[in-house]
Amino acid sequence: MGLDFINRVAKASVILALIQLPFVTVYLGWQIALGVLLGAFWGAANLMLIKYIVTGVITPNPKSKKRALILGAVKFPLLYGLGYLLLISEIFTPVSLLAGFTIIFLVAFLKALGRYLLDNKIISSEMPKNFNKE
Amino acid sequence: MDAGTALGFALPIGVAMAAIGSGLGLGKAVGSAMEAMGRQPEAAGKIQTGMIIGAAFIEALTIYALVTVFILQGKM
Repeated sequence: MGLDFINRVAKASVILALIQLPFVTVYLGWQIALGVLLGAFWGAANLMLIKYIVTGVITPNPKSKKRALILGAVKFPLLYGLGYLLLISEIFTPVSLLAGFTIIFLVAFLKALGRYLLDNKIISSEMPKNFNKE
Repeated sequence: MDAGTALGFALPIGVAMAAIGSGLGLGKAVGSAMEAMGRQPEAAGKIQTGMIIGAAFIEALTIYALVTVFILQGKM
């Protein structure tokens, strides 16, 4: 479970949020669908920025430390400022933003659970030997 | 004391408690991860990933508290 896991979790949650967009738009309205999508973007951006800051601080290269400091200074006002603006705007309901924000954790949990089950051979990703055998 | 006044007192206290809790949690998680990476540098990648996911979870709790405050603020 390397840093690639985090990239894949962020990518999968954005894809999941994009998939829900047409369905939620039809059944619950575009405001809720867009709120969920923006919440998912918020969560993914939060996770990726944490990743960049942590890796930048830990890497011994002074350039990456400087970059991490700049990202840290930008992250909090920008991300929380945007979140605050989204929350106070009357367009999106806070619950839809929260649902979108939770997607990333759901994806991370399910990915970790899948990996655990595969590593411990509780389920197998291989085809059975007699599969497709007449 | 009516419900609005009680909410007026409770909301800032709730956010403050969430911020203090997540600050303490983040400090402990990152400190322990750094110690673990110092002891076992070969496992740094795995420890780092776990720490980043944990940090995001902890931060999310504060954001949940903030959003809950926004939801309840409308009921004051």
